[in-house]
Amino acid sequence: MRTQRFWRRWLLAAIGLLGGFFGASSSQAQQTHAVGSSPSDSSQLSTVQVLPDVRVQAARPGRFAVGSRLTTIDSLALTQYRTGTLTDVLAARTPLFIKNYGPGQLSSITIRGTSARHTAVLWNGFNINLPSLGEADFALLPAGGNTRVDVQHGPAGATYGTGAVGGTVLLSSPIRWGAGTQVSAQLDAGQYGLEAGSLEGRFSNQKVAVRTAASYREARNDFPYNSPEITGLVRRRQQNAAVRQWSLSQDATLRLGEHGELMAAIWLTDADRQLQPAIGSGNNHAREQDQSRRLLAGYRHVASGRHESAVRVAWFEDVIDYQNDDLTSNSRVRTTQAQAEHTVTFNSKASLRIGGEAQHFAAEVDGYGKPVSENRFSGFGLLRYDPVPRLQLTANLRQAFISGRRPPLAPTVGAEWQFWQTPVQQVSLKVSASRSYRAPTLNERFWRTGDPNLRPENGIGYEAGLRHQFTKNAPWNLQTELTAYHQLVNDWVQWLPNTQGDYTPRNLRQVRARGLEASSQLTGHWGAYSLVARAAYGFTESEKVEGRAEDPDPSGRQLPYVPLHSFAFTTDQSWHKWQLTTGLTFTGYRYTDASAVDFLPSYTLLNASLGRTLAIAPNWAVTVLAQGFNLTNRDYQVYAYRAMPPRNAALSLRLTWR
Amino acid sequence: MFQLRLSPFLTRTLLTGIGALTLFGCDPESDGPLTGPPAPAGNGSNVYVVNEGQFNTPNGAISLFSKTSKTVVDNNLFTKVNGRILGDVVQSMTVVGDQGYIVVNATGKVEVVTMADFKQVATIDRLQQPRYLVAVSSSKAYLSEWVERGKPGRVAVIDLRTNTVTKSIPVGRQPEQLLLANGRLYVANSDENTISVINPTSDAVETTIQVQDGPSSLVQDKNGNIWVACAGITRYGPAPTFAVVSSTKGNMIRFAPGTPTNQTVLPFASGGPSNLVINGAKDQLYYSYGSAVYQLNATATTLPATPLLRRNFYGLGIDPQDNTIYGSIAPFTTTGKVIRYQPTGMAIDSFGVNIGPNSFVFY
Repeated sequence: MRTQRFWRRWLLAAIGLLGGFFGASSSQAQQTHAVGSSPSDSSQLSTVQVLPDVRVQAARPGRFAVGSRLTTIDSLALTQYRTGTLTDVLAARTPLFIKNYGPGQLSSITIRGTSARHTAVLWNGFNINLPSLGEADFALLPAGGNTRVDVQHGPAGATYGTGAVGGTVLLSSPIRWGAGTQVSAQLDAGQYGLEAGSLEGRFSNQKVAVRTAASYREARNDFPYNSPEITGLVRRRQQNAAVRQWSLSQDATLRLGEHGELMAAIWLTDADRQLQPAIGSGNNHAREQDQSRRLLAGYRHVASGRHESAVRVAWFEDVIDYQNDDLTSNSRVRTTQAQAEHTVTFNSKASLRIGGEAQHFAAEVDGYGKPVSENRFSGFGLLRYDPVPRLQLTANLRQAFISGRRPPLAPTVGAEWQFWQTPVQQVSLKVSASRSYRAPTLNERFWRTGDPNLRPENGIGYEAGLRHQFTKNAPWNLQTELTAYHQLVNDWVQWLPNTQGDYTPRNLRQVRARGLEASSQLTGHWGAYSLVARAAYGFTESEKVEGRAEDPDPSGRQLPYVPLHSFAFTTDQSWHKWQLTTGLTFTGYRYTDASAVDFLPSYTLLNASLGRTLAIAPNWAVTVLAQGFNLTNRDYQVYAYRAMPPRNAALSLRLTWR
Repeated sequence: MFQLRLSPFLTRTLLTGIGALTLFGCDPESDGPLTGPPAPAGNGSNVYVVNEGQFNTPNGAISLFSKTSKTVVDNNLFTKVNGRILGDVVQSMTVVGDQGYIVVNATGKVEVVTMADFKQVATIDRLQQPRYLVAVSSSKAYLSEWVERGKPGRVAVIDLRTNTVTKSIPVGRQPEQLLLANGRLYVANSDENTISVINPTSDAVETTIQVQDGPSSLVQDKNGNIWVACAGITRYGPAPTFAVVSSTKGNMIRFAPGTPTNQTVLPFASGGPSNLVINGAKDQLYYSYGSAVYQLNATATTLPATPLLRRNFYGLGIDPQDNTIYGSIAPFTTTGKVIRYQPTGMAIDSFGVNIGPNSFVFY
């Protein structure tokens, strides 16, 4: 019964969406134009921005992620959130659900019905999930730290390693060589004590590329909210929710002769947050300081047109210090790691990358009682083969070793086939199958009540999709993508009380996630007006399908905090010196407990910003930006009992020089 | 020109989108407000289950189970009737006359309801970690408050006519259950080895009885003896891992109110007892120890060796009318359940409640 309902919905949505888009494109059929610019499929990720000379060309890992779905947020889109965090960006621009405990508070992502621990977050190829928790707090990742965010949906253990079960978030700052100097500074002021600023400078010629970005943000977050009390709804002001954070990133790349490239990157983030209490709970003055230091250096060598080698080393330090009225808990984890890889391009059709990765974690976490360390290694081989230009295939493999334990071999295979093509439109079929795994986190293994012998989780996922592209040289083009997926995650870890009442992690469950993702993006220029409009919908069904007797959570219920339906519609418009951005998101109801009894109602949020750029001198420009959030003044909660701000506004002033 | 070309597409997309949202976007239906009084009051046929909810989350709740229909009437009675959340860590509930007093620990308040229909009457707030309430008359009650970890607690004197705190009496650390016996109020100071005895006439501590470490629950049997379950005290380090710094064993203690220093001490081999309750005839005591429930005769001089029930319960209750045993399972990640047993220990049935069921009120 359940299955039938699922597929019926699937079909309804598929037919509806495809009908809309195919119908639109067929009405264009009589337009005869040459095929437009090449499709920006995921393989395009492999090409760095236009290079004046192709002596050193990086093959990004996306080159080996054929057949899967990718959502990209480029520097133009990120610029609008330059004083915000990745929580703001992803929540406003994608249908991904970010479980957020309040503005600036803990924000954990869920992709394809999995938990935050099932999303790998990679910065320049290195996993930056907190090793203790095994997840990233997206509120601690300022948007201005990097210039590009790619969200790869679905499992990709072979390509991205541990944690790439539900998806992977890739943060990077691609280089534009020979772009000269650009400097910009921005100041923001908003309601509820928001003050923020950012500064970015870039320079590049044909030999050197440097980028520095710094940002600061603080907010009192003393917004009003409605508290249900005996006298009725009482208007109260939020207490203990102030946040303050800053970020500094420094990237530098130096070309050494014809064949070499040296790069270094630093990203420092710091946050001092009061932790917002629940509505109706006492204020225990909880506070957390988070500090991450990330250093990276790498060298890339292109021996000839066929061979490319790269080595990278990185050192991270993650500090989390927590206090409330009753306790303090401090945690510091240092990660030292190295990656090496070699890519052989056999001919225009085939390339192979082999490589390895080593990580050493040294943790001083109060909850472990003693310093602990862990080593992880993995080796991988990634193969890309395009037998004919319209067919791309990949086959990837990774084997990890974690402190003497061996997670399952993680293979991925993927294919994209452009099976239909006319002068103005193309349709591709994409399929992929992948084994994914998640190594137990340090907390799961070494917490006083942890289990050092916990098995790694593993998942097997399949997906298939269609991509339609309507391309004209001018004035617009339209890309539509539809994906259906199915994944089973085994040995899903659950913390449960043992007979002594201590919570301890156990491999208890099998979880099945399946769903549908549809998106469509329209890009166009008409005279002085330009528009990028993107609509994306996600249907996500995720439930425990098998468990052990010890697990009191019932089977067959939608997992908590996984909305069945989510939708985002964003536009970026500009006309002469004006720019308008709108974001409309719908988040369906979410159950708040494993028994799927209580739920939070669905909500729709509307944000918009309007800006005007003024040239004040040669090379100097000022942009004034008015931003409005929650414009319909929706009273909503993302996480149960955590108040969210009502309608509010901010004003930004941006100065750019180039 | 582009308008013409685009409009069919836009129309279709919008229609599809709106269609999809209408089709899929509906939230599950919430139950409407209860119609009529939730329970006929006062004949003992109703069991109110106190569900703590998750810590730091105001989702504590009262479940109402009807013994007559053997069904759960509602699993969130207060919210259903009054349209608002009850609070964070609902610790206990006491009936005084025809009103219920629900003590909400982490929110620091007591919600007062009428038992006839569970409608809200008053909120006694600005309390600090309140735990248990006992009434000495229809107009006066006492409420234990932890106040702050490691510091002395207090007992609040509450005027039940105005639902206000009229006085605070300092007692020992972490005062838990209160017992009114022989005209005195006995306060179990659970982070010490003492019981404060308050004189309700003067509202002052008259004497402090030394018992064993960790007194938390106490009852009076039919012979007038006071029984105290002392759980022992385990002290942890201030930060995770919260390593055990010291640990003392538990004891069951019995004394007559007139001779409090003349105590019968029944020691436990390791750990300590909790959830001490007594039956309606006040001749049989029940308590949790280890992962089991034990039955103790009020005349016993040694502890029973074999348990009545081999099951680990978070909360334990005895129906005073028929001695049915109620045990609750509280996983906290999800809703809990209650299992009912005959006095012999044979299971009767079970029913699902809300998150973290910790105690029962038979009314």
